[in-house]
Amino acid sequence: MADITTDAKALRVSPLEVIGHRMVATSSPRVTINEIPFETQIGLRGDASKAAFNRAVKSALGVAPPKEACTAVEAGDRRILWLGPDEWLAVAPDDTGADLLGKLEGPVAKAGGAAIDLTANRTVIVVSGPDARGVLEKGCLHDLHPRAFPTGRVVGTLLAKSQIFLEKTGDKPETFRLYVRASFARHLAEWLIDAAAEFAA
Amino acid sequence: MLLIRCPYCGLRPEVEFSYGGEAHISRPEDPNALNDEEWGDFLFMRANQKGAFRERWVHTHGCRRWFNVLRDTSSHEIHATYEVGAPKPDVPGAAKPVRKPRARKSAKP
Ligand SMILES: [Zn+2]
Repeated sequence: MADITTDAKALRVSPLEVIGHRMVATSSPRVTINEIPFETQIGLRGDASKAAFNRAVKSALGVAPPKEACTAVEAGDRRILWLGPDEWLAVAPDDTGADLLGKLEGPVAKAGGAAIDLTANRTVIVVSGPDARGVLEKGCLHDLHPRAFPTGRVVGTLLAKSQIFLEKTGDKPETFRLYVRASFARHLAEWLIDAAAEFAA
Repeated sequence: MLLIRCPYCGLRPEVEFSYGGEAHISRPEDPNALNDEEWGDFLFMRANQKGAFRERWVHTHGCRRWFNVLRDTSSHEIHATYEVGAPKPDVPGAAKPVRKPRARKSAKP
């Protein structure tokens, strides 16, 4: 008798699962491209000058939302990205969404803000290695040199005509996280595979 | 390509933005008090002037916020960008602030 699973987690497919093997095949010591599927993403709106809002976010995520524009903060395996003057994206590992939302929704709403599950909106692509910047520079209008784009910087911008949040997460080697909408992910991944081909050993 | 200074994100390439037309046009408090010509003025009539012009832009692909730009429509020079609700910056070198859009004379109902 065939087993019919009703476990949604066993059935789900990430936006880039079908070309994951090609991202791996293109990766080299010079640059690697990987999807991190199903990362928990929670949209936060609120007034960062309100202590209650900061407290609510900090007690759930371990860190308060960054006030400086275009920056991200990290706390263990969680991070908060600045998206706008009253808007942030909290990112955490797969499977932590229900727990985090439970902790955030009430207190954030009480502080006049909102916390909304946006997990299915975007997937995360990590581009890392000595030539990671060289790959991204082929389609990104920002100056990605470390003097202008240090670790901890995050910008909403276009890469290969797709809207992304681009976050720099490390310098040794240079590592970037690309948050791309699910429906644009395949196009962007194909573009990255093509752009990285010349660096393959 | 223009480089536009988003009041929130700093200097960014033009492709991250979208244009929103003339700034500082507020919706009439009571649309029912207007006749057709006045309502048409509000909806469609814009100054379209040559020189320094106050206009709205939105940082579509960045922080998604609307703001105002003081731009020279003939040279593309951007004199200033400012948040919605912030005081209007002066036009450099101009004796008077930017001319308000024409108030077309229209008969009251
Ligand atoms: Zn912006």
